[in-house]
Amino acid sequence: MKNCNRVKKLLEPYLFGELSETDKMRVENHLTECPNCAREVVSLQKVLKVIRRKEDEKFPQQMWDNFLPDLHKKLVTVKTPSGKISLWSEIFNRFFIHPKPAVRLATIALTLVIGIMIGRFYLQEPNDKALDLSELMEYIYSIEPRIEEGLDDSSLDQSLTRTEILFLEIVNLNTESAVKSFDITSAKSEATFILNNVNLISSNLQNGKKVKLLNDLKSILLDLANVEDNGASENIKLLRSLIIDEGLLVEIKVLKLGRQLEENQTRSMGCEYISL
Amino acid sequence: MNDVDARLVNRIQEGYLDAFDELVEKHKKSVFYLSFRIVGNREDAYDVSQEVFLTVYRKIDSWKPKAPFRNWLYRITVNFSLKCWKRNARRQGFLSRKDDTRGQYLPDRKISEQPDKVFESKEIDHLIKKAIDNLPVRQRTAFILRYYEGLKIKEVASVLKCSEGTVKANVFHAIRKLRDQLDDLCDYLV
Repeated sequence: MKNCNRVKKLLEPYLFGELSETDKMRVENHLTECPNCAREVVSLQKVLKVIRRKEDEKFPQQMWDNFLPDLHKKLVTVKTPSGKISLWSEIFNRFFIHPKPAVRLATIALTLVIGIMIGRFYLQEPNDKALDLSELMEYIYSIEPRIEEGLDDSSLDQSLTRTEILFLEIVNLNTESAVKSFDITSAKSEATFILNNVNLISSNLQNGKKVKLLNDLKSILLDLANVEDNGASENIKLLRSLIIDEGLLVEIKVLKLGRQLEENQTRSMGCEYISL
Repeated sequence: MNDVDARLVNRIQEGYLDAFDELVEKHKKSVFYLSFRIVGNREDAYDVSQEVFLTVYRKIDSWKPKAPFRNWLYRITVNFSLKCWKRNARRQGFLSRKDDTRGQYLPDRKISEQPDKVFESKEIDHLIKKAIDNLPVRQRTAFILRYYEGLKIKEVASVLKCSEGTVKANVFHAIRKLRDQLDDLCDYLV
């Protein structure tokens, strides 16, 4: 019985004449000993022999002749110059000229929806989109007019940051050579720019501490903007000591931190904007 | 691997439509007969064969030369044919039938009870076809590929994407079921 099961696993390839000589011998030896398996094999060989008698059905020659022309009719191809079928033509062939009208309609509807979504994305307000670098620059340059309108709350932060950077540069001029190589022209124009912004902001401010600090900053910035080229080094040194003595950098930091805390509190209250 | 097929496929990939025509002429009969044996009727087999060659044309770039083209072609044919067969079976309500169909679709009358003329060649062919059609679809497909198309076990496994053991078992069970269905005919003829 054990042998029967082993041999049964070999019967399929045995019937198709695909067994190795060794396995074939094993099967045939077993068949001489086991009449049940021998009967089984004979009956299976018989049925395969009978099935082989069946001839392939004959089909009219016209069917074979029409096969290729029929295929050509269905073969709607849009080819790329390299001769390969493009992805777009594949999509077009598959969906837009699909034999089922429902699929064609669904494809057109889907295309329209996608088109509308893409259109809406590109036509929406620039502020809603993610900014790339050039857009970011445009945004920064556009701050100035908005400050004039007194609408942009972030302008105070920007002015403070720019002032802080400018003052840091000056404070870091701790050697004679550094003072001499300092680009006074750029510093003057930066100071003028910040001053203009701060003037606009301070007119809207109510908070006394902030107004006082901004006035301090304004006086330094004013001095810096009016530094004359002759004896500029001495004036820069003077301004540097003023910034350090007055602790203006620390004041700026404190004010910025205070504003951040204020902002966080306001946000947690669900307010979108912070009053200055 | 068949070099002729590989050469033709390369030419189609380069955009030569005449190579595609040559490939169709070479394989149309084997594709049609394979499909015909699975779906069981001429009209569907013809449509399936056309769809197979359209797919071959569209997907020709996805054929990898490491596998024989014939296996790839047969796989597409089997997939489309089975899809068609299942659709037809669903329509006719046969899909729910049990795998073991032994005796269920036997000829209406016992062969021994039928007049001699029944054993004319056409009738014999009809009985054999009916017996094959009555096999469960997996066994039938494996048997057709193995017996009619002459594929090796490994090749059938590659076409049907299953193990060699599964192929062997399916084919063996198919032969046994055919033996059970065609017992009388075998006794008469052999």
